[in-house]
Amino acid sequence: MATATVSQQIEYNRSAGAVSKRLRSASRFVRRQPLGTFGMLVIIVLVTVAALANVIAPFDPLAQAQRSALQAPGAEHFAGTDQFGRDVFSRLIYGARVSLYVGIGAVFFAVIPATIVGILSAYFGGWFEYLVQRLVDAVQAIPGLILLIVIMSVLGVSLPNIVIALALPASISESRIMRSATVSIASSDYVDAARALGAHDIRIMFRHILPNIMSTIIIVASLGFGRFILAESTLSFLGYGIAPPAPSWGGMLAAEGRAYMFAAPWLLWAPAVALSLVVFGANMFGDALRDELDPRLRGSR
Amino acid sequence: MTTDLSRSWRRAAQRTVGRRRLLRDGALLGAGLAGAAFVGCAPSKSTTPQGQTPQAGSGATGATGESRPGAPVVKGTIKKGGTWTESATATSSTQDMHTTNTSFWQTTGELLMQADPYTGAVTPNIIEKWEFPDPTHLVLHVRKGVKLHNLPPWNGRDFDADDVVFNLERTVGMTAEKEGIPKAAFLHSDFFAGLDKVEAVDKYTARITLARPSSAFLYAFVDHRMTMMPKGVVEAGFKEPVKLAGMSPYQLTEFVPGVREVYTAFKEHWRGQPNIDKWVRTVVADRGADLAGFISKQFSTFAAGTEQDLKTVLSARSDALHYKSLGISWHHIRPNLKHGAFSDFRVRKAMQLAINYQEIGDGYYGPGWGYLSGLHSYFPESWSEEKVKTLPGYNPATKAKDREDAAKMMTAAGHDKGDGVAFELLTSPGWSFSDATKENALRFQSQMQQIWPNMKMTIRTSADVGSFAKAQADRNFQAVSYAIGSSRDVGSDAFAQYHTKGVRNYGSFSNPEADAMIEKALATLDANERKQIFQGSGGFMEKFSNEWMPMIMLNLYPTNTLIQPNIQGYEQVVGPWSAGRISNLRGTLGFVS
Repeated sequence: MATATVSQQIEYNRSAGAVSKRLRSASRFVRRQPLGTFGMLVIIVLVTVAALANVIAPFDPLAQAQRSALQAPGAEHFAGTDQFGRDVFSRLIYGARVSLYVGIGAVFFAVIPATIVGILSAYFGGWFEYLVQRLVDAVQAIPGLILLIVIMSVLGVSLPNIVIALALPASISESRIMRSATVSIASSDYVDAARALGAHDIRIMFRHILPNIMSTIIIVASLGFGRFILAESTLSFLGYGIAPPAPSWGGMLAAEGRAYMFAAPWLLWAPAVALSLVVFGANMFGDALRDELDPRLRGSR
Repeated sequence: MTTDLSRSWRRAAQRTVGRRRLLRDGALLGAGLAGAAFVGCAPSKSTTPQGQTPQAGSGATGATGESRPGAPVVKGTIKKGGTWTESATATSSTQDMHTTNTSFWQTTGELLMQADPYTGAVTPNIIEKWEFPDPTHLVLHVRKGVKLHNLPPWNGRDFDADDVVFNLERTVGMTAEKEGIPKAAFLHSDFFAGLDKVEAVDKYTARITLARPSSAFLYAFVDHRMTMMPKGVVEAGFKEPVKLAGMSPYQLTEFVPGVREVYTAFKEHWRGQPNIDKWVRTVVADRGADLAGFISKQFSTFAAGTEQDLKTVLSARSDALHYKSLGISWHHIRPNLKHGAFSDFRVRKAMQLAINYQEIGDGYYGPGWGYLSGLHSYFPESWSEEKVKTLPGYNPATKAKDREDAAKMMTAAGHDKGDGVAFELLTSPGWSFSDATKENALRFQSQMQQIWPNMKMTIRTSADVGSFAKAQADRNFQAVSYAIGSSRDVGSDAFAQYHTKGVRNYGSFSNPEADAMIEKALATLDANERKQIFQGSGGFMEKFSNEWMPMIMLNLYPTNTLIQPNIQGYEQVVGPWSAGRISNLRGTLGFVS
């Protein structure tokens, strides 16, 4: 009984210490990275809004009401209405789902393959690395937007295809970052030691290399999040985005904002502000994470 | 100040005029007008163009008691000189008039004949007179002194009968084999359907032999896609447009692909030198740039696509001259009858009954758009706007009942609540009217889903204009939301859109009775008899609405043309004959002091 009490006390102290440590880390992050904190809050708000869109949105984002068309922002419609009489604020809220879906989806499908290819390339080297790096060179030689448009033209317009179109070239390009991060670790003493002890290649890569490039992965992911949201808007603006009438911020800019920018400028403001804010927030958060997690930058603060 | 000409036009359109009489009178009227214009444009005469009545009031147009509605009106005295500037979405990418719809020849070439924009009557232009010695022969007399632009190898020679023969033979693809071009590449060959032979009798006379009598044949000459090129352009090649000689009042003198086209007044033009010295067409990125260009006076004209654009410009430039009329084109939803539920007439008819046309028209254009069913309502043979507006589906007063009937019809077809009706609605990218086709699609979708919530409709915009055109031409679509312009003749238009062999019958509609009616109309020279084929009891219009419904027409859309206040002499045009009748090309526009 006494033994149990002591071990429980030790466990309690350990977890309390861990919580306390995390709180201190968070407090330090907030103190050192005010812009990064702001970015984090923006992303949290985006996630919350996207998740609770059907609760928060005051109107059906697709419901047309011709009599209410092109109303300026007011008490009933916070962000005004578009040419179909649809509530812009509600469309903005539902549009957040698309941004979040694309942001998270593209990050997931870009970073995971990039990490695998990057680690394999750096770890095995030789002809495999040579082939992979020439492929990266080839992809990076093609203008990004052209490549996106070509992929979308081939795949056709749909939300999953947008994710694929954004993730595919990014996964190839970002594999080079992962490779660079892996190269120095793959030649470190503790990797050699693990190999000498008979550890399998896969175990070395998963247990010894991957955790040590995690900060790079997090940074690439957080910066990619904002970039992919912006790229989705660009695709929507060019007509390769999500099919109407579903709302997306890029689509709102292209289909409604541009056409009525003089007569109803609020159609432009609402998605433009939301887009800028989220991309800015994601970039700030990514920068702050890099500052915190990259040991080479710690001294420079 | 705004002038809406639809009412005055309707009165004109409803008059019963025999086609032969129309043609004969048209020829006389045209000859008279041309002669008068010739005198009026002579440099030594008054600077007020012939037929224009100076009138007080900014932008005032319309009947003045002496001139017809829409005739060019001038406030002030026109002076020679100045530069007309306008926007374009692109520079002309191809220069072969017979295989493309190039804007280049529509500017630098001219039509053999013109259509009066208010009666549809064919009037002289390069051809100063013509006669039918019998129903299958037509003799064209080319005007003497129609000079080509002074470029080698033409060197300012007269346009003659050999040029007419070259254009007609090549338009119908007779030279396809010799040139090694597929016959299908000659896009406008249908315009001269029935052409058997064309020959030059002498330097200024051409003789046409028709395979069968055709009431529509003459109207092919007035289509803006039938502007003439001189013989020798094929040998010269179409790569350098500044080296190609036309015969219009404006000659291309500078061509920067993707940037601008500059046309300079042609002093030797047979109607005399036009008032304005230069015509510059500049490529702009989008409608916003176009709009801003007009407000800042960088562009002489602006075509306001929407009511909002119009309000925006007029709020910034209340002095702008505003001309409003219904033109050649109409918006529509075209189902592919080979796709799923669209093969059932009841599905198509139910959709036609359910649409709220007023919401669609007002939503994009505001007031001023027009109703039509089947064919352009300005054709005397077609149903007028007033008539269409009283029909089920179109009539705003019976909308609720029409929607109930539509729901019952759809249920009877086995698609209760829209079950089993699934299609993709394709639209074309770009700006100008393309924005309207997209908005029409969204409003149509919303309206359909209010009644049939289980209907699965997705909207997709083609990757580019070419892909859209190909999808239509290949019949590789499920439904399209688009706008299209009528031919100049009701028979030709009906053939193109609804005949089994029609080149624009993209929805694959095929009905032997419709084919027979269209063929009969094209072979009938008597105007009243022809009108009966379309308007009579059990005629084409009734069958279209009650039994066929191959396409759902949404509206005739208005054109709002704005012009800088110091430019006068704009000729307002309406209906199927409006396209290609550019005031500048007729030399009526000019800067006032």
